[in-house]
Amino acid sequence: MKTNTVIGTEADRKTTIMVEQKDVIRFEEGILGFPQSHGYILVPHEPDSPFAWLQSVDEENLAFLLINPASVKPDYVVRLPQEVANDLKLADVSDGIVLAIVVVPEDPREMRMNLRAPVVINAREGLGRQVVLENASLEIRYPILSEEEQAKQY
Amino acid sequence: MLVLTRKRDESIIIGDTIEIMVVDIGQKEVRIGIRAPRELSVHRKEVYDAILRENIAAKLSSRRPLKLPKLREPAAD
Repeated sequence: MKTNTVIGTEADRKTTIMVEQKDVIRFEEGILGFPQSHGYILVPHEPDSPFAWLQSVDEENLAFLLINPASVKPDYVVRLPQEVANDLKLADVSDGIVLAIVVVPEDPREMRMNLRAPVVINAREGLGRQVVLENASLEIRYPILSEEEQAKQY
Repeated sequence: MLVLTRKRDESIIIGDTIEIMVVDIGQKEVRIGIRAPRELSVHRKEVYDAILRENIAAKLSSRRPLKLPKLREPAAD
C-alpha cells in the first residue's frame, strides 16, 4: 500500500513523497504529548547529514527534527531497559537507532537536543518509541552548538 | 484530588491492575512502589512535564522554513 505524505522544509514549497507502508515506523504510544499520531517516516535531511526528519503520516503538520546525538556528543551512551528492547523487538539493544529530538528556537544557532528522552527505532521491524531514560544526569536541553561554534555560524 | 492516609507497607489499588505502595517514609521523602501493567508508562511528574514541554517546542509544522546551522566538522587530525 502506498500513501502520499506531504513533507517540506522550505517556506513556500511543498514536497510530496510517496510512502510505502513498509517504510512507516509505528510508535505504539506516540511521541509524548502527541498520542494521536502513531505512524511516522524517517527522512534524511541531506545526504551525510546527522539530521533527519520524523514526519507523521497521520498528520501533515506534525514533524520533528532529529539528530544523531553522537555527532555532537560522541560519549553519549544509552542504556536501554530490557522491556524497551522487547517492545521494539530488538534482538540486541545495540541494534536500535538512537536519535535525539531537536528544538529549533527563533535563533537556530541556539538549537538544542533532548538526551534524556531519545527516539529509539528498530528499522527492520518498523517500530519506534520515545524512551524516557532513568539517568537523571542526561540533559533534556543540551546545546547542539557550543558558544564558540554559535559565534562562527553565518 | 482524592487524599488517603497510609502507613508504611500499606498500599492503594487503582482499578484492578495498578498498585501503589508506601515503601518507606523519611523526614522529607517517601519511597513509593508502583505495580502497573507494562503498557502504562510511569514517570516522575517533573521529568514528564519537562519532556512534554520540550516535545511541544520541538514540533515543527512541515512547512516551516528551516535553515540548519552547520555542525562542527569531524576533527581531521
